[in-house]
Amino acid sequence: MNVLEIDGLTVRLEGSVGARPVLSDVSLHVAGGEVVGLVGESGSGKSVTCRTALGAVPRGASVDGAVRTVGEDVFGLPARELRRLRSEKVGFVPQDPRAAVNPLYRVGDYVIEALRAAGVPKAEAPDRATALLESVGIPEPRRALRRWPHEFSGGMLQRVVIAAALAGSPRLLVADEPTTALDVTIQAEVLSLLLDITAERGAGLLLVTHDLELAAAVCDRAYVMYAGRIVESEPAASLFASPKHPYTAGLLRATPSLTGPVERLTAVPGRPLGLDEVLPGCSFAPRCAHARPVCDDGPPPLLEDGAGAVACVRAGELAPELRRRAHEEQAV
Amino acid sequence: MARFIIRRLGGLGVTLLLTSFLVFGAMHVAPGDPASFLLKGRSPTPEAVAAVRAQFHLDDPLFVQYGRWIGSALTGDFGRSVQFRQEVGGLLAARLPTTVALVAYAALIMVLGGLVLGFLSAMRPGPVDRVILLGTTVAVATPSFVAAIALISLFAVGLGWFPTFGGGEGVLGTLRHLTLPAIALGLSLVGLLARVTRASAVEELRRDHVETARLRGLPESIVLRRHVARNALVPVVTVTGTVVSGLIVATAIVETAFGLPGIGSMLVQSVVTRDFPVVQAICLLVVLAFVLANLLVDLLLPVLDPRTRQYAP
Repeated sequence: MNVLEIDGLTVRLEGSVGARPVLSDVSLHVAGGEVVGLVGESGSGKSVTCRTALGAVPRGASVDGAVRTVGEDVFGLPARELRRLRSEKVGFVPQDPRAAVNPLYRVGDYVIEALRAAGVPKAEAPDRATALLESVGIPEPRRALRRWPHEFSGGMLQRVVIAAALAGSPRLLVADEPTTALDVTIQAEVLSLLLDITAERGAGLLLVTHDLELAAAVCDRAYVMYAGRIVESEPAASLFASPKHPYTAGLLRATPSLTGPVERLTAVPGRPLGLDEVLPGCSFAPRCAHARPVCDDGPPPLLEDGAGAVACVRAGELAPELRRRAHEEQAV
Repeated sequence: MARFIIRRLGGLGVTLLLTSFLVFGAMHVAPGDPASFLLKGRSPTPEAVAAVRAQFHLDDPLFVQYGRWIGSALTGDFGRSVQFRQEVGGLLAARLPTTVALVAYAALIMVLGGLVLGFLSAMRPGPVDRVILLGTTVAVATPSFVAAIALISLFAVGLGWFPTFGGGEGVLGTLRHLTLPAIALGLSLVGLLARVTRASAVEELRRDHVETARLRGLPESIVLRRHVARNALVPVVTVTGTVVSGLIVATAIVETAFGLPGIGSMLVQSVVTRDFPVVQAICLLVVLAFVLANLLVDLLLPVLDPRTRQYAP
């Protein structure tokens, strides 16, 4: 059963009539127990997308399309029900724990607040909080409740945030670049914790990241976003081995490989599309080495292709070359 | 914590000693001479001037005068008022309650009004915010003497709801007599505090942890109370501390305008008549209030913000 279904979602910011929407016709789904990556550069719309799973859209934005989270139509829910959905059925893990935790309250308060919002009685909350902190690997959890956020390292604090996200036994976890703000040495630890607890609970995980290699390594499937659109969706393994969209291929070549030899990285040329820039055809065309006049004939539709889908009119003819170059890179 | 308070109290002593010398020195650099005031209206004989100067020790070197003054000030004796021919300590003690009540009343108006208007303004963008902004702009721009005149002519002379003059008897009488002066004193500061509160709350509303709190499904009342209001209070408390001690100085104008027998109006009279002992004692009192208010803020901030605790020695 799908714990998240986003269907034809278009989000337009207030006062941006005529300009490009932040999200255009985005569709994705996450099944229970599945780990799904959402990959893209800054400004591609991935954070906006993952927040719509919690029924949150930028202030004053207009929304088309539907988002069903754990069976609920989030945009049709009254405020009270939406709050229940957020506190009981979905867990949210933000990017920077230092910014996401109010520094004026104790670590325990952060977790207990979440438990209370999920309907746990006041008397039980401290014990439940201790158990949650223990389950995410906080040493001396009982004492940790009384400590302050500034006494914790970023990694430890992100564990606290994850513990609080579990307060309501969520069916879906939404993690917005959960390791980007952490030291490289502890990124892997926090990520594997997130994956373990998701698997243990059979919950779905929507993992937002700008790291394609990471997404390919830990996700079951991944979506690649560019300029507010999903340009490719694939099972993670084939995304890495045989990218079908030139943008995905470009991202792969721009990522340093841990296993391969050191070689010169190729940046994706040009810059991401601004929100005020509207193109008649493919948004990636100005940066694409394979662009032809046909690319400007309207936005390319996301078409099914094997196990995945790709939004590129030349995907068929380019596939052999992109696959060859991906392999070349690994073989060198 | 105890060590921190003791160190701050030690600092308080040093501050008072330094300012006492400044105050004492400044009075003697200022033009005018108590002796000439005392003998005003007469053409004094040199002998008479000399007698008065000897009585108030005005011919001794500055340091000797200061030493004598600070020595007896430490024992609670601030000398005799030149003007009233009474002990300064007794004069001040009689007038202090009025001023303390006035400052407390004005501070209450300022804090309640400032916080309520500031938070309302921050949390209700649109017409409410704009009306409050306009009102507080006018309030900030209104000096207390203008407010005093306007309030007297409207509520005391025009409508007759409040008395125009004097301190009043008993708790209710005092309250009635002090209402207009307290409003005059606190009005511009209500505006100031509302502005500070609004800016602080608006900034907190934009913080990541507030967005996260909402995405975590916390009730809006908890988000606003625990994560916006509480955090926004930290700068507000700092400002309130300095502003409240500044109120004591501002009583000089308001007490004079409303004819209240407090130390503010006394300061004005004493300056006019070169009544040095009284001016010196009141100045020290004001410095004491400033330092105590700052100490209070310093003690309160670590309670509000745990991050400042590790820096408190």
